[in-house]
Amino acid sequence: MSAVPPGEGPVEEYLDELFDKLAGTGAAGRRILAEAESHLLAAVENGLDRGLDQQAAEGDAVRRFGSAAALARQVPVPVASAGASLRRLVVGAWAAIGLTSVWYGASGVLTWLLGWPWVRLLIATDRFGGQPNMCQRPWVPSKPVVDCATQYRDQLYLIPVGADEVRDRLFVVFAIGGGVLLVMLKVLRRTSALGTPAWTPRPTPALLAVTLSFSATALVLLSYGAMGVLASAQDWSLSYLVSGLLAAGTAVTAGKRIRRAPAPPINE
Amino acid sequence: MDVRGHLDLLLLAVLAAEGPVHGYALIIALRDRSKGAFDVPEGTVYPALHRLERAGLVTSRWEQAAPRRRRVYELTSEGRRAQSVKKREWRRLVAGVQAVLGPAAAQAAV
Repeated sequence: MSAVPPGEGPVEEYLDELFDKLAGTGAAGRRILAEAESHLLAAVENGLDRGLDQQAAEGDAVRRFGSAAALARQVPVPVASAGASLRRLVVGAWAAIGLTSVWYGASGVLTWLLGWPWVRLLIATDRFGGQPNMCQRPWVPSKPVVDCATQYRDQLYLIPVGADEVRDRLFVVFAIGGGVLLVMLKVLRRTSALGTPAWTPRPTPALLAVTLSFSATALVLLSYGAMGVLASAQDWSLSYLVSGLLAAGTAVTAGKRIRRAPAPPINE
Repeated sequence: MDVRGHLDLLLLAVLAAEGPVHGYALIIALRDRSKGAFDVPEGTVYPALHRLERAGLVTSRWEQAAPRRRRVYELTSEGRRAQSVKKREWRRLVAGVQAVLGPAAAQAAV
């Protein structure tokens, strides 16, 4: 039995979706599309021979072929033109801005949350032995309007640099704004041409850039943080430690993903 | 069963055994020869074939066969050599794994 040419059934819908997802892949994409059509028609024919009706045979063929998105991700993008590089750069910069904002904002949020236990620890240990009688004069005002712990907590830097210049809780805006940027990017990549290979930065160099930049940042921040703790637990040391640890976590996560990135083709 | 990492060898082996063959028939042969164990998403085979072609191990051409055009794939001589090398490597790997797991594991796998 011969398969009828695809009309508006699952095969046609699948080929339409694949066509959209292969945008920017050039000759390699056109070839995959042609082979997918030939393959699906053969599979539908096979299904009809097994006694399935047209709709069921098309559905079965599409299901067995696998998702269009997964297939499109495996199609190489042609050597980059200036336009293609710019498209990937836009998506890469979007992701980088979102990730950095989340990291910066989350550092502030976490430091703010850890501020109370940290200050109580400092008071209980006299800044690890570096400042005896923290809650007595001359360390606190003679007529304090707030208690000792609150006063010390208010002095804490919530972000590493320029804490006195950044408006209180601006880091919350960074955390939420960065998260919104990343979620928007994820949704758009699932529903639009932004998810096609033409708009997708090459995973290994992109992840390597994240790993190296966050590793270097973590190294600097943690070093300063450790020095701050050793030098009578300075007011800024907690924020350096928190942001440094978050940077280190980001670098490790990106580094692990490099290993899961698609392997280069054999003999290439 | 997940065949990622082994798909290239499997495709080379099927092409060596079947001779020139189009994509759909190659996938059916892969499924039949593995007795259904390698029931991969069929679409993933094409990028793998293209990769092998770029590596010079496979060659292909469009063939007009009623009722439609089909792309037929064939091993190159370099592909035949690569297939032999990869097959030997695979056998060494299997022998090594079986030696580590012990005879009980090897019998259970049969």
